[in-house]
Amino acid sequence: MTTTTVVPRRHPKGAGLAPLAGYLARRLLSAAVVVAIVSMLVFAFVHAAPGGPERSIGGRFATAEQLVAIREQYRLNDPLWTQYGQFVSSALGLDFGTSYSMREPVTDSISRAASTTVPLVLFGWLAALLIGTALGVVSARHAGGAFDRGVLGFTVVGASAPIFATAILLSYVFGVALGWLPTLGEGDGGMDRIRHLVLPGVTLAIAAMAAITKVTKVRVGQVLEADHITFATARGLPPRGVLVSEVLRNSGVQLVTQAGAVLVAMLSAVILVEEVFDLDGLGSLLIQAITARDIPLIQAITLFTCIFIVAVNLVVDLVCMAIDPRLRIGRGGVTR
Amino acid sequence: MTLLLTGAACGGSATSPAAGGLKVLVPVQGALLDPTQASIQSLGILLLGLEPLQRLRPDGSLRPNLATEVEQPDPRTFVYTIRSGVRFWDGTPLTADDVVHSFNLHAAKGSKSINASLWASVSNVAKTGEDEVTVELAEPDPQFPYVVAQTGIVSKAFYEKHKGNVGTPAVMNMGTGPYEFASFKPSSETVLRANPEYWGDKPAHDEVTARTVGDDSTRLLAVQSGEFDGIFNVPLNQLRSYAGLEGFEQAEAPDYAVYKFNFDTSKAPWDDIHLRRAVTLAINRADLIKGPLGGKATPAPTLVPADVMTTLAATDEVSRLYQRLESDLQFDMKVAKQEMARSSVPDGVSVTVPVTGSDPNLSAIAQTAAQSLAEIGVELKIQEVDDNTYYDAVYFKHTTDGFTLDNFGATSPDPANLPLYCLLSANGLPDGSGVNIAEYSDPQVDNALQRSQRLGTEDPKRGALLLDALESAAKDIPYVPIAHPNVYAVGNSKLDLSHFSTFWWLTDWTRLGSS
Repeated sequence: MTTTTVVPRRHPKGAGLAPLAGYLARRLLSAAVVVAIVSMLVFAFVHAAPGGPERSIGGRFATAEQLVAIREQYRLNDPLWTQYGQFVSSALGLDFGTSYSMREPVTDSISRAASTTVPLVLFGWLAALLIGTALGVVSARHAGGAFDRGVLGFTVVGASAPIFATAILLSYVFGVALGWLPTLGEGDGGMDRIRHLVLPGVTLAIAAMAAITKVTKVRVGQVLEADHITFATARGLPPRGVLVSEVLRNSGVQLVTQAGAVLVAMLSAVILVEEVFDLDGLGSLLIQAITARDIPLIQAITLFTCIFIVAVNLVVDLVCMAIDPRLRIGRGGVTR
Repeated sequence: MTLLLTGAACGGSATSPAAGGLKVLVPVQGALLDPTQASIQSLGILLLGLEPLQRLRPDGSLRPNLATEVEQPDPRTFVYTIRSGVRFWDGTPLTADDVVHSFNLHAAKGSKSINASLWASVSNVAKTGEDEVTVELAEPDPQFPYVVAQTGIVSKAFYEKHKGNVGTPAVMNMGTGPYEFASFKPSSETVLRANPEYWGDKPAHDEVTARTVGDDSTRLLAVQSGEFDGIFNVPLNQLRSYAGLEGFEQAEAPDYAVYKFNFDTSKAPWDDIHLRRAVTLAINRADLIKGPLGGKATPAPTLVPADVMTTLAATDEVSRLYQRLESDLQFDMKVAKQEMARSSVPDGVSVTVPVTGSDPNLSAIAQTAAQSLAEIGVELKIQEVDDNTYYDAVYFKHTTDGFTLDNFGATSPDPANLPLYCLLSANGLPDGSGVNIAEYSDPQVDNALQRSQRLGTEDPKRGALLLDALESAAKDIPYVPIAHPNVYAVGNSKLDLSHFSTFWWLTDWTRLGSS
């Protein structure tokens, strides 16, 4: 049997930056292509959908003249490629236009909504990451025990319960029965905002935690059974040192990849959470924009979402390469 | 999950009035705090801040508000005397110029106001004295006083200063009302605080928060937890859950709206009266009221509820006609099958019926009706779509298969409101707004409706003409009226609902009991 081992080449200081820059450039270029394709598709779909923005702006009893005037005002009669070209040229200058329905710069609407969604997603993600990883590690170390079975039950329930059901249950228990926390809304900032985001954040965390716990448990369990862990333990290394420098480091790629995937998945989960907790976040704003056929707003939100997803994937890849030198093949690593 | 919520509601978790003013859930809010972009229920918030010249009383009559006097020297002219001493929230005085500006936002040529069609009969708005504004109509319009009652007065100077940004969260708007806008989240939440300098009765609350929540369960939890003091327009399918809430009372009122099936009479095979009659007789309206509408509605023999029509026509005449129309709509499968056999599609027809999820009753009604319609060979394929798609297909472009279902609500308490929208040929496509979904066109009906429009608002002859129009149209069956739903509100001691009506949004609803 032939085995192949990856041995990282030792470079003089700064010698690895050129390949990294090239790699980054290629990734950014492919990211730009992905963003462009997504934005074109969204633009085409929005225009193909029945009911135009002029109906939302003009209302139920709009006259034919009003509709014509609205279409002219927003240049909706221009050919699609002209409209798209205008959007792209403005967007490149960081001008995403004015919302048809809210008459304010799209960036104003998005930043207002982001002030709810960003802390919510960050809280849910970090909580899921920290607690999920901790539960997974402890569960793997005590595989088959009562704690492991309890965690298994939690992950099954957490992963299979629809997120809106979790949200309503939490809202009922802590908002109605105990009266500790508000059941809806985003609050007025500061501590009030934090109080309002606790239940939505916990709902997001529970949904994501199940996946993180499961992956952590499986991967850490695999690493714990590896020979080098047995040797490290036999050499008398302290358990905490083995856990951090051996177990977690060797599980890192899977955990980081999972963390990235969970962060991306939270973008769809947060739409449901915002709906149930009636939060004026990005998910609600997107639904509102789609309902009103508010094209500039739809384009901008989907564009930012797409950029976010591409960025998360890029960061995950870079972190994984930093953790595991074998992933740097083709950028300075060699095989023999 | 529904069981959990229902059980909890019936269990009656202790609730207490929310602290910090009045907090209510309202069915809809505009994306802008601008009268050109708000209509019907979304005006409920706007009119607390931007007052109209005349305000609707809970009994349906109009009372003076920013206008102390209204004169109508002839059917086409309205002269308003503007109340003196009224100031906007920024301290500037209300003038006739502000009123002219406010009216012209909707009435001026090229206006993009969603309410422009309501002002279509206006030919001129002018300041005719220091405190006097005169509105001239091209045609008499008995509904015009109600249009004025839903038109908020704004500061002209404020609009000129902020140009295209009025109504946004950063700028909001400037009015004279008992409450001034404190904060605004588009389509979601408006917070108003009491205007200490208000010219009229002291505002009933220090602060009013109105929030619109899309999810049924969230609304219920918000009221159950005591975070909100009440809710307007409770969905019919949730009434039982709200009924058990301790400390809350439920108010009921007839809605001036009608659930109806619509036949596009310009489109085959629905241009065939035999098919229309067959479908009408195969729909068991009593079952639809008992089932999908939970008994919270009254049978609709025609478009206008009897209690609305009796405000203009003699009760016995209304009663006689409505009984006759009701008997023509009675479920009769045997005759329905006979009519189907005589129709152009004796072997049956398949039709896609769009419904929108924002009114779950539409889907439930269509599904129930589909069962009995299948017996005469009419297959309904029910397709749930979003609001925009639904309105586009059903009202704006008439691109459906020709058989649709909707719940059409009046925009004013006037009995002519729905007949004009639904029966006047001018409201069909391509020239009209399309709310005449049936594309119904009958010279006799048009004539009766147009003659009724030339009379005074309270002229009883209008009632007789409207009855004529309804009777004539019924013979052609452009619609199958199903039911007039009731409308409900729930509130604790902070929200006085003793005079609640379907037009609560035109009243000062923060003090319904006394306004």
